[in-house]
Amino acid sequence: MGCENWYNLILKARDIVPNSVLGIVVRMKHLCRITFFLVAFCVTVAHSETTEFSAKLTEFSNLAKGFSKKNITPEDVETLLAAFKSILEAMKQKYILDKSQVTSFIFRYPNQKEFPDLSEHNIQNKYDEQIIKFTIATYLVFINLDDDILRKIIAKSPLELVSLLQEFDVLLQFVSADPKEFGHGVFSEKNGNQLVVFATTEAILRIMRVIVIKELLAQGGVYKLSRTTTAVLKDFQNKKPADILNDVSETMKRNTADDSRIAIFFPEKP
Amino acid sequence: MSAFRNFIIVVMAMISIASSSDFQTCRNEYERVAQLFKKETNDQEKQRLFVLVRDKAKELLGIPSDRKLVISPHIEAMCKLLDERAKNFEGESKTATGNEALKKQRESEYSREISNFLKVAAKILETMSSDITILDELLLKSPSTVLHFAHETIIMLQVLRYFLNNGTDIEGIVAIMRTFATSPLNGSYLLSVIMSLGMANPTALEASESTRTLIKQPDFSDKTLCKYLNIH
Repeated sequence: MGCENWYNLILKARDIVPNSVLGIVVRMKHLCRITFFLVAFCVTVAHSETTEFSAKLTEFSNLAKGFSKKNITPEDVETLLAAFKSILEAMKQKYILDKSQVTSFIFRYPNQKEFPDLSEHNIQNKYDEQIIKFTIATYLVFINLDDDILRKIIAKSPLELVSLLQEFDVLLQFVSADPKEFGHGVFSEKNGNQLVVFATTEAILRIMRVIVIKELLAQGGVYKLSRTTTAVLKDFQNKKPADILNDVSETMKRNTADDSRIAIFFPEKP
Repeated sequence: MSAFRNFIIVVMAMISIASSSDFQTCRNEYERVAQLFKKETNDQEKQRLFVLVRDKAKELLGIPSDRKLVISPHIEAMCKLLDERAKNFEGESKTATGNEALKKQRESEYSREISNFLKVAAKILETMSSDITILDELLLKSPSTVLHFAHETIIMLQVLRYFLNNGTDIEGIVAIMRTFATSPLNGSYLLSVIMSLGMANPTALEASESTRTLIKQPDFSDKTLCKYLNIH
């Protein structure tokens, strides 16, 4: 039915239906239309927020792939470093600044001990252990990575930064875990501009495991850590993280398909 | 009114694009049924659901119900060309110098890796098609391995279709495989446990009995066995 016919029908209806009833019908129609648009708008905004990071990551990954295929120049390194920092800044803004109104965060234990300390974690099995250790390693990489190390890593293997961004995204999601999704989020307290996150075994296993499965294990049920995080995970009990990162940036090879990377996965029981 | 109509058209188009992805639909359906099977406690219902999971897995892997899958002869013909390509690059790398020699050596290795991948994927799929109890065991041990392996069978079948349509265009095949292997965000495709084991023991797969052993015996819960597909 065309618009004109519809309009004629309304005019005819006006002759037989009281104006008050017609008014209600018209208002209801407007209300339904506005509600529909509002719902559509909200769905679109929510969807764009969830895909925003993956779109940026894909864009960054394409850039890194382009650089990895040629001899990388100092200008290329700076370009990629700037792109990496811009994504990281946006992630910090979204997860920490917007939610907690702080500029940085540190992990601690409720007894104020410094993180990490494996004796603070009562680990039950090897699958719990991999989540605790992944959290520790990602955190240590996050707080110890500086521009010079990043430059060296980019020059050796630009694609390494893609894995690092994925891991940092998971870490930041843990820091800003939403109580609506996890029963309650991580316990934290503000200390000026810094957020002190209490990274207890309970919080890590309850929240981090869910995020890791959702974000990293979706494809094939297994995720191999970045080479940087693998190196920290293997050696953080014996060496300073900054030294490990320095060594990694010096020795990293161009090929990213490195089978010695540590795998995260969970057993399945159908 | 026209803005509203356009909006509806765009929404409908988005829905139809999303739902037209056959593989995604099939994958979701398999995951849904596998979850139902996992949660079911009633024996009779569990048995019924298992038949359903098996059907969905066969659909996902492209295993026909009415006949045995025979793809090895075509794959062998294609791999012969890939092996020749590997030999040519190896020969050229010996006469080249510096980076050029390294590049040619790598191309030779990638050719062998592609050939190995295609042979192993075809052999495993054929063996599953000839003896469905192998798939049953895999479904009980590790349903996610079936999903993971499905990605590999699809690319193998895509390459095969390209080969059958385009004959000796071996560079086209290498390009398809390179895109597949480097398309993950970190630039490297992680193989399923079953493919990793098969590619590590290609000669063992020559006998059908060995293929059965390879598929049935490993601990599929140990995903540290997963290796990267080494093509860049």
